[in-house]
Amino acid sequence: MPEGGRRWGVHVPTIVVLVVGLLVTAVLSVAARAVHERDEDRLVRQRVLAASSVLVSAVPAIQARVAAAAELVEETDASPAAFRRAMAPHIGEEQQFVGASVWRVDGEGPLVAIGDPKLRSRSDEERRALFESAVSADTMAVVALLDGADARIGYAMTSALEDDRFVVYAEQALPPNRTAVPQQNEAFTGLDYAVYLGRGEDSATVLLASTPDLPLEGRRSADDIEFGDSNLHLVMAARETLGSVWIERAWWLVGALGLLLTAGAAALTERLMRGRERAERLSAENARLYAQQRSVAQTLQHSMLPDVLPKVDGIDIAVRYVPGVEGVDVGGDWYDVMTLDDHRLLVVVGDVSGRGLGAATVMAALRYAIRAYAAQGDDPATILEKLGRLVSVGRDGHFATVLCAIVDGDTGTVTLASAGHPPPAVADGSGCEFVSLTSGVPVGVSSPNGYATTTLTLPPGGTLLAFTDGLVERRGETLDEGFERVRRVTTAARDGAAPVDDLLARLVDELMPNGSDDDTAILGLRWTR
Amino acid sequence: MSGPAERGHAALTNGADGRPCVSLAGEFDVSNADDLRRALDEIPRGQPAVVDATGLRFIDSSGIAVLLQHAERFGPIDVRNAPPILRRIVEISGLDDVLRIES
Repeated sequence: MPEGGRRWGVHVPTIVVLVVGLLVTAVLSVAARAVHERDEDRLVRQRVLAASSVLVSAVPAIQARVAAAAELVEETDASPAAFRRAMAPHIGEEQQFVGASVWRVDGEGPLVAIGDPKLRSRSDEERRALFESAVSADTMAVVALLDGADARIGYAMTSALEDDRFVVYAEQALPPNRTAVPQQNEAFTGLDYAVYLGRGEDSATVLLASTPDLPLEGRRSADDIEFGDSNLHLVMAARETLGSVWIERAWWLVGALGLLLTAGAAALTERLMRGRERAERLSAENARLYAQQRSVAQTLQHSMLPDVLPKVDGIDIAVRYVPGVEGVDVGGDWYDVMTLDDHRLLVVVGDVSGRGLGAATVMAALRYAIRAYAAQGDDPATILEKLGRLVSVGRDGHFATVLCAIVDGDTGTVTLASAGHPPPAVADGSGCEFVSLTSGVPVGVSSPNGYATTTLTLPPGGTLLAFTDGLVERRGETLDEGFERVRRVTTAARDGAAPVDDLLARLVDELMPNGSDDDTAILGLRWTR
Repeated sequence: MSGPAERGHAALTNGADGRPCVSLAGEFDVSNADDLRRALDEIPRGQPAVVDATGLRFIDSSGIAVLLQHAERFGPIDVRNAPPILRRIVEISGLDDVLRIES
């Protein structure tokens, strides 16, 4: 499969839509065509049956007239006067017959004749054969005299009495060239038709046809009608569509519409596929960029959190960093420990608001600035004061809470200042108390008030515990409840002999058994003198 | 973890004294701090910002940062009906002069 699920430059689903659409269109089109064909066949058949019934209804009129004449001739012993009287009104150009005559059964005659029967010009054999068939048929014998321009059809009949001696013969003229004059009867309009004497479509036996082009072609149907001792074979063919032209056009209307819809659906599918592909590409690119940014932020943050802490005599330090489980961006929490001289340490715990690369960058800037100011000999309050020049929440969207302390390992003295940071706790064998201090505004918030320095002295073996708000902040609680939890765990863990690292492990285990929503940094410092 | 029902909602309304006031309800964190920012941005320029925190249940540093950013640009924010959670954050963070809690 080519890249991106394409073939011939388009997506596979598009091809599927195209193929399915074309198939459905073809099937519907063929079905519409079949419905039309069936409909037309049925209509032609109906028309043939209607026309056939018209012919059937015409036959008795001929047969009855000829039969009546035969009875009369037999009863009057072939009286010419009686025959003339009975038949004359029906003979003539506009009448039923063009001629009528009476013959002996053996072919002699005519005994009497009205009009000009064409049969007269026929041979005796031909005549005798016709009369014999009239006798044996016990019904009207039909003969076609189709030679010449004046084609005729003749009817011969004997009386129904036994012992018949005479034959009555009547002739009907067929239209010139046996071409039918346009029919008034609506059974015949709109179609081509041909009537043959006998069975089958022998051009020699055609009596009447609406067109010289025989046999009839196209959509056609045939029927047979009993006619004396013979048969009329009626064939009809549709010249045009008999049913609705819309049904006739339906197949290509369906086809055209189907092609149009298929093309539209295929185009839409292709567009959607390309849109999705583009969205996927963008999303993958975004994910890549995001992962890259996150990795940069993580790298930055990790490099800010020292694994190995500097030491001075008389001070044990332990640290924990617990990444938040909510969200994937790194937070801006940090801790830092730096040696100032052989007995003093700078200890910092801070928290930049927000998350991600922006927070990590502010954190890095603050961390190095604090180190630089501390190296210059600034005290904690001055350091925090100076940090305010580096960050502005109005400009950067980030602020930071920072707890900055200098601890003397010789004396256990802690000098500290807070920029909006949760207060640290001091714990010893007798309990745990949070340091009461006057906090200035967080770094990044402008204020005319400076930072106050608080000084305290740790009891021997006492522990200073500093942390970021992740340790105490819970949804639906005030911070005081978090502080109380820290106090409880720290008090319960008081065991002068256990390393300070154990206290931190216990705090993490008990206060964040399932991890923390927010990132959390904890620093524990024990004066071991 | 915050469910949908607890999600923060911030809207500019008219306070009891007729001054425009941003009403806070629910929880605000990094995921919806921008909603808070948009509501604050609707306060007409030159008007002192007033926030009614009656329904506030939680706000993290991202939400506080939005409030502080606004205060830094346009002056201190008056906070009415601050619940204890917000009062303690303001006290501990030394923000009393920036987010002025009305008692």
